[in-house]
Amino acid sequence: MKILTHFRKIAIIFLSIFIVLFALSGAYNTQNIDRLAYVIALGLDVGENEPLKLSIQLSRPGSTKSSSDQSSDNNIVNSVECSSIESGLNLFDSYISRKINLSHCKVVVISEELASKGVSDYAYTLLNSVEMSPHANVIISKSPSEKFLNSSQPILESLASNYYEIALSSSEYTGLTQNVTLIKFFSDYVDTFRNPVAILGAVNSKDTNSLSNSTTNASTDMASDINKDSSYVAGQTPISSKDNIENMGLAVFNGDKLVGELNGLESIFHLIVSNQLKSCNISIPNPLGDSDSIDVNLSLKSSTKNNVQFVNGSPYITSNIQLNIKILSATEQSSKSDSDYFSDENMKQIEEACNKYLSENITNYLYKTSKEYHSDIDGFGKHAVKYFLTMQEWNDYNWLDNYKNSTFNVTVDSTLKSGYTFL
Amino acid sequence: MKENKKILKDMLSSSKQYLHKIFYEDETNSYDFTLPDTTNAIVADKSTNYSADNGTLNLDNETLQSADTSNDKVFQSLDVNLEYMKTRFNTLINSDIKIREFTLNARNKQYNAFLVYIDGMISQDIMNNYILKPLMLKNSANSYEGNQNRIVAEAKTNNITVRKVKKFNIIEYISNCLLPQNTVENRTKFDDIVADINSGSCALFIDTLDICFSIEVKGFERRGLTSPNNEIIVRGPQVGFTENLRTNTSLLRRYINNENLIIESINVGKLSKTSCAICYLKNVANTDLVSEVRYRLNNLGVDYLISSGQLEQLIQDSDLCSLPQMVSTERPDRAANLLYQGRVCIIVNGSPYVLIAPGILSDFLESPEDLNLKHQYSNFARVLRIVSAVIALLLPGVYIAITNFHQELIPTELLYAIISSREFVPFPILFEILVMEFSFELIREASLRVPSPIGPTIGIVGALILGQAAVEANIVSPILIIIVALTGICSFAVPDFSLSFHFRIMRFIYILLGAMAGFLGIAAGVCVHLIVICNMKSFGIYYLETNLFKKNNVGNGIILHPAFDREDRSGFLKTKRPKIQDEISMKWKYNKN
Amino acid sequence: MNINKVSTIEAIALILILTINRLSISLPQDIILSCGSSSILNVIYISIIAIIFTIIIVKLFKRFAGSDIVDVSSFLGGKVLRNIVGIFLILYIISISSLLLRYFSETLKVLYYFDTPVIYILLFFIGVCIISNIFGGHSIIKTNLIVCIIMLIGLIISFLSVTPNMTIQRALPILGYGADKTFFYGLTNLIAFNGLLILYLVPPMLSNKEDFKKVAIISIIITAILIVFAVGSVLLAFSFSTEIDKISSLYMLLSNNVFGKYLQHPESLFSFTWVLSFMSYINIACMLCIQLVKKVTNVKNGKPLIIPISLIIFALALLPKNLVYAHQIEYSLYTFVSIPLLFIILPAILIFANRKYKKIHRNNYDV
Repeated sequence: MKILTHFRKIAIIFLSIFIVLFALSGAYNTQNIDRLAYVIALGLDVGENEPLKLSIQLSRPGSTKSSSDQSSDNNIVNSVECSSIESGLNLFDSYISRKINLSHCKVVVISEELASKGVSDYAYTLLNSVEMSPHANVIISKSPSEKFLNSSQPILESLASNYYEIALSSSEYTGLTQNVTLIKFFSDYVDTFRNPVAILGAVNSKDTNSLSNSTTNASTDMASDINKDSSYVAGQTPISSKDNIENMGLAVFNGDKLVGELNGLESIFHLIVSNQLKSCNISIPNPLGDSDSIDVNLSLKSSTKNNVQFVNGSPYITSNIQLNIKILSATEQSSKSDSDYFSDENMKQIEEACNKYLSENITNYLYKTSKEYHSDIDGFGKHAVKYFLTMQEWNDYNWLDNYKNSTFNVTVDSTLKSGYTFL
Repeated sequence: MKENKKILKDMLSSSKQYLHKIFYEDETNSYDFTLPDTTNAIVADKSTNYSADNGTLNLDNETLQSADTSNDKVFQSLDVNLEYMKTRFNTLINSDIKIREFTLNARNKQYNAFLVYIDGMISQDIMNNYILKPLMLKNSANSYEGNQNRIVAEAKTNNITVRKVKKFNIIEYISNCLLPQNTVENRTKFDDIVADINSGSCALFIDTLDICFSIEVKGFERRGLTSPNNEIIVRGPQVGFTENLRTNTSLLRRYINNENLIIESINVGKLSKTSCAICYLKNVANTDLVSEVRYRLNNLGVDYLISSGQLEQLIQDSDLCSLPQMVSTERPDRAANLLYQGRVCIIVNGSPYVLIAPGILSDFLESPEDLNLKHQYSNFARVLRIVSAVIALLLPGVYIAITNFHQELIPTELLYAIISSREFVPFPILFEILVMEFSFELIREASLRVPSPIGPTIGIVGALILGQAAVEANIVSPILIIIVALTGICSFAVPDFSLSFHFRIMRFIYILLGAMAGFLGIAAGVCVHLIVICNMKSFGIYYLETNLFKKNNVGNGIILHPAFDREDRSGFLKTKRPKIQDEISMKWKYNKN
Repeated sequence: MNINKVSTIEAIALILILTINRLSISLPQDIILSCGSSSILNVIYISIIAIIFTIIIVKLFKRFAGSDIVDVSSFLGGKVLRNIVGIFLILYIISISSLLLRYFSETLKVLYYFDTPVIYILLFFIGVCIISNIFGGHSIIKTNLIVCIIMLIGLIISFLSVTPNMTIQRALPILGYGADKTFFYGLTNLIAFNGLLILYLVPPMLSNKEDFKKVAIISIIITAILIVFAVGSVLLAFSFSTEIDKISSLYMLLSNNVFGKYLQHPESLFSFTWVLSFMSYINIACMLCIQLVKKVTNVKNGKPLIIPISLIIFALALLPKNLVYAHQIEYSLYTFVSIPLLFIILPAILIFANRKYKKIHRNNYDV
């Protein structure tokens, strides 16, 4: 009995020593919260001497009492030339006092040059990492990414991370670009049904403003005349302010290589066809003659119905779009009750003008993606797959290669719902 | 010359004295008292076990006095009784044991008698007017003369009269006719007499009688009925239990005016013989439950029992986790509600807190006001209390787990706020949290003992200014102050004092686990905590019943039904009367006739 | 002590926890990688097979109400068969739980605890297992019910949260990698219903022996629904699930859903529930082993067996070299041992025992 109690005491002493050693062993992954440097944005460029030039944007946490420091003080951008993302971050670890941590990274900026070479390795590496959030946005920048990061000055916010979050969700009400996250980009890239897109961004400075008329789209005059304000690509809008970043339009990929870009108007068409539009404002030609164009607010009435049929081995794609229109603009003539927009006849005319305008331009846009870019960014592949029984057959057919042979038929049916306060 | 010689002589004598002091005298002792082993006779009774080898003490027949007094009975001779009582009560040393010798008149005869009582426990009024006066002074009752026997019946046949008489019995006579006192009992055993005297009765010994009368004359000072100090509610009775057993039982009787309320009396403690009462409703409570409570109270080998807190620790099921297993309350309405449910109530003389067995986890998250308010308010308050209990337990641990291991969970703006507030703080987060929690507990403990004029001020001063000063001095970060304050407030929202103590202790373990291994440690803590709670039983009923789909599982959970819909008694108590209400309790509203 | 007061819903939770744990680790991925886009069809197909199978097993157990497979095998073949079956089941339970433990700890290590040696994470689980088993089986089963409900709520939230991203066309082409892979080779996906193991062991534990039928059928149906939803969510919401093996399906689901816009990295919050459910699973595995050892060796007191069995699980969990090896061994164990054991050998024992019962009681009119 005595031996057992004695043994029990020894066992308890050993157990407690063991637990204390175990707990204080320091082999645990404790990272003190203020020993980490949180990267807000990551930039990838083609390096001069090395394959990759990695830039990171950090933000200095201001003290709690001071109201506003100069935002430029808080914005720190550093770049290094390296051979891969991980080795670049490693180099930064030895330069910056704290350990680099990617868990709050909001934006990944890839320059045009690097994107045309292929981004699949970087996408896989970033998604393989545990820290990186899959909801970070992917921006393809027409300027070098380091310049992009340096110019991103938040105007109305104090924290750059806040700025990125808010700015990139503006597409929900303008429609001029799309909120593309890393996981969506990767998912579309691996998908056999579609090709990926990314946000197009650039630095808007005085030099780029003068390029306003030399846009890359060869679309009809009607589009560029009436919707000139939406037809800009990123970096070209004539806003007079300090150098700052601008996101407008989309970058089109075929596989993992950048093949082209869409301007703001074409992004709206892309959102309409792929059923992701929330609401946007565009101008349509005015059939009534009291002004050149009517500004309308578009939103989807019901989901866009796409269908694919095979005619002689080539895809024949039909797209059935239903929209709701609200009239934004008003003139003196239109507000008078005898010739306002909302008489039966005028409504029909406006709706028809809208249908005609949109169907022509959307068809042009679709042919552009098919013939010029060979890239199915609207995801028509998922409507084609029902004709195949096994994945082997589908992979053998290779939809993404056959997209360039497709023909399109777009029908738009818009309904004029209301105006605003002038009836 | 002469002076030199004198000086030399003085020096020589003082050095002699000094040497003498060193070599011959003992040290002057400072006052040093240590307790020696007892060499007086050890009083051992039958139930106390001594281990076989007890050191240097020699226990033999001469030193052991067995104080087995259980068979001593009242003697017939008054002097022997007097000597016995004097020895038993140590009246030579004990100053408040009084013995009053007098002559008693009965049937015109004089008997010697004496009264033993404890000064301060009796009401002198009652003793003088209703015991001494009728017995000592001559009055019509005790001067009735003669040894006449009382004729009970008489029958006459053939000139022969047969009478049935009742022999004159002086004991009956004295107790039936001479003592106008409401409680008089005949006692023969000295143990019972002594117990009665200790609780405030007086004992009357009469020469030539071998019984003793124990007369109830209690009249000690007691606290009046006041509102309960620690269970304050807004809408409900404002009366609380006091220290006196009879007052408490009378309060209970007033709420449960039913003849089936049984109040059994048990004495606990070999020296103190504290009287405890077990209360239950005979036609509702489960008999096995009552027997179990009785069994536990009867088999306690302690010397003394002062308060119900000590009793709770002696009869609870398990001491492993510091969770309370019996409800302790100061409110008679709460005790009455629980008695009506079928539970058993234990009242201890000298303590205003009564214990109610059994107690399960949801009882400790209940406030006495829940049954008085509408069920919407009560349910809202219950949900609030559960959330606050979880926060009080887990918030510091989760905070330290997130900031050390899972920083990605924090929103970016909050993250920057935390980093910038911690910029000048030199200590790691674990140290900060432990320091702040420890000082919070210190303030709580200290404010209990601060003299009342400055009591509340110290609380406010301590909390606000110390916290603010600590932030200004960059010892802790402001976010941590918010976390610690929120935890403290939530721990006050838990209604039961013992349960909130349990959460306060467990919180430290969760902090250590969270700092060791993040969410893995916290999940391990939660798992083990749940298993310990599920394993616990309180008087035969599982502490946490997780099976919400069990039949007859009403009254065990969190949500309270509306007052008109509480049809079933709590199933887990397995009572004799399963229904509380009829199916339609509001007969005025749904009267089909 | 003997566990004999398990109610219906607690028994259902016992069976469910086995599947839930594997769902959060690797089960949907394994199924999708093997069948491609026809995974949903495959899962529905094997669910129907499993439900029919369960009904057959319930019928076979009817004659032996209140006895589990070890008792039935002792009725059939005496002590020898009982010992063989008992020892085989013990080894099986120990090996699958230790491999799963290693896989889960490695997953945790990759996701959250990069620098920690795996042995510390394993020690946490084993420590909790030892402490829980000291308190006895009843508290483990009760805790398991709470944990199961929490985990079910978490799973439902994760499935619902990816609904906006789902594209129904990802289930096309309908036959995936081919009809033979879907229906014939796809039968190996029956390993998803590993919870049937507990069904063989649970009858003596129930407090109400007639509830066995209810327990079996409800638990299999809920398991089938969960697996269909899990496979459906992972397949329909992500385009890359047929080609790429990501580390943990539930992690993938939770990190790529609508919450991510408002709450960053919500999967860290749910990792708390996965760890809790896995601890519950290890407790149950250890408890079942102890019960089986008690049956086979006729010991009265199970408490001294806790530490040896836990240490054996711990030691076996340290054997594989890394995550991929652990997964491979586990997969081959399931395919070559689990399916024959659960679907062929044990039912065969039941069938023969039923026959023997009929023979013995041939003259009784109430056979």
